[in-house]
Amino acid sequence: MIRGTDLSLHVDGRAILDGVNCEVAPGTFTVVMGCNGAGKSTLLNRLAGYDQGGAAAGAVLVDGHCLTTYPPKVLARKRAVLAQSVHLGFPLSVAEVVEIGCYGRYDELTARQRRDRVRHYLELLDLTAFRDRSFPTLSGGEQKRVLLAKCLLQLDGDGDATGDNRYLLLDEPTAALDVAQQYRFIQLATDLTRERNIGVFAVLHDINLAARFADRLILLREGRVVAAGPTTSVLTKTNICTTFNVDCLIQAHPCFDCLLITTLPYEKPIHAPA
Amino acid sequence: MNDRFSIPAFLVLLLILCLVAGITTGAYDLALADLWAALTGRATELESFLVWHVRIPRLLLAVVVGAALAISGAATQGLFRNPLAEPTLIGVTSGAMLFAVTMLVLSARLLAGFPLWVQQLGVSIAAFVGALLTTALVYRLAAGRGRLNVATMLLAGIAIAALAGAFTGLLIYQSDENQLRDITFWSLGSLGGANWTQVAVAAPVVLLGSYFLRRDALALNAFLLGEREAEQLGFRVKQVKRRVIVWVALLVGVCISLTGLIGFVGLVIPHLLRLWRGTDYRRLLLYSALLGASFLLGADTLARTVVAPAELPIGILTSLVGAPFFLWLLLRERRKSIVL
Repeated sequence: MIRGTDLSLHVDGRAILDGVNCEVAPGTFTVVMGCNGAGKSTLLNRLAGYDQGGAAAGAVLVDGHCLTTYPPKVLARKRAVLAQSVHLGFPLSVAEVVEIGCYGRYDELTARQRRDRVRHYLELLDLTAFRDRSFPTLSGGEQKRVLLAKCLLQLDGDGDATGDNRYLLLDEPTAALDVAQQYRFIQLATDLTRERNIGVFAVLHDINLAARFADRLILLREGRVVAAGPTTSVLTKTNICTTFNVDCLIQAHPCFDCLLITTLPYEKPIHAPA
Repeated sequence: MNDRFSIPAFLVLLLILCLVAGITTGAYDLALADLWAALTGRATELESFLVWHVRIPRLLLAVVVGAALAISGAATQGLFRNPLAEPTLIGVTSGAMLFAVTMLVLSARLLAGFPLWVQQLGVSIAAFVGALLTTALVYRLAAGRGRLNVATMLLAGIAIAALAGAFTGLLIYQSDENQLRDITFWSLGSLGGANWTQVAVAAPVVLLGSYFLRRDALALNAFLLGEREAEQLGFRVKQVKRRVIVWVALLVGVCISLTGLIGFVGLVIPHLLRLWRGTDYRRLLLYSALLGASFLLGADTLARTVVAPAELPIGILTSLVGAPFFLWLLLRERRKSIVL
């Protein structure tokens, strides 16, 4: 369990995060949503253990131990972060990018073992054909899959001592992906992490993607939690209106066992069909 | 897959070829048989002296300096994630230049009574101190509140270089004809003064520096994905940056202090290898060292022979040979539409 307690961050006297509590349990998919500037990425970076500057308060516990007490290499094997966007300084091949995932335990693996692990994850994410391609030449969706492969390799627990819970933090993983790719990526990420009992914490912008896939939802507004809990109980009209400053219509999804939310700005109120 | 062995083998072979070419050619050509005789102690005194005290130290210095410049260039580009980055940008070169020129101008007054080698040593030490001092200054400017901002460091480096350049210009303006000539030649670089002492000073620093930079190869790879990425992978980003900068400053500082400014090696060699074999730093640093050594050996051999018995400053040759070749490679790769 990653547990953030009373997390605050003030930069130049302004509260970016203000008393946020949150939890990420192994094997669950927790999504944080909110307007731009609500503090979503700041919260994710805080859970990742990044040094963000500013005046920070509160504590992040990872499996009961304070985040800062973990040696960096041990932490790297417990939690991986999939960044919002990656621009390579110089081109690397797809296989080289994925291999970076095992740098946390580079010395424990032989060159052959590293190659095998890379091959395994390339196969798993259907990337074998791209192996030797230069990473920057891939499409946005393909790049995200490569980075996911890297993260999963980073959390790969075969035969190591920290073999307990693992966590994956996704910072707007669907940004810049087309509609189909967004859906596929989240589906893939949830499938692969559930199988491995990895706890996922994701920043998402698509409320319906969250409604479909998230186990738990955290809604943020101006650095404070509006609501947090199981997805269906958090997605109420009041919560959505408060968080995003929009009007909305909540229905049962016609195809899936989840909610379908239609949002519109306040100026144009919508009404449920009679 | 065989690349792992064939490429280093090729580079080592190239280095050996360059060494043999370098040792046999020059103002006084040696046949291979004469060389063998000199190496086994059966040659004339002149040839023995030529091989053991002129050619070999000079070749070794070329190897050491070439390797150091190329490996430093590769590391700096990785740290700054910028293809244009080279040690010049962190202030090493400008500082070395300013201090060396100061020494060249002042030594006439300060060290007038001393023998020539003391004056030369003075210039070397001044250049080395200048290199380290300016790097430290640029580093201090960029490291605020416990973090090192590489973009700030780059800009601070440019500003400090401009400032040092202005002071250098002032000194040049003050200098007389002889000093002007010394300054010009120093800024074009030369391996002409090579001796065993210089090799003994440079080799350990370069070997150690290369070893320690190579140890950060994984971190440099992670840096390619961004600093945050390196941090989340468990690298101590701040320490890595500091280590790389310190070693680059030491390596380049030592080289410049012994040979003057030799441009282009640090910029071109890593790029050339990147275009050819990719960026992976586990290989790139080693390959850069090997190719950089060969490149400088080749350039020095040319510098000694084209206008023999006189010598061309080596800096002219490295740019004259390196730049067109690099452009050709760049244009060829552009056609293959690979992003640099």
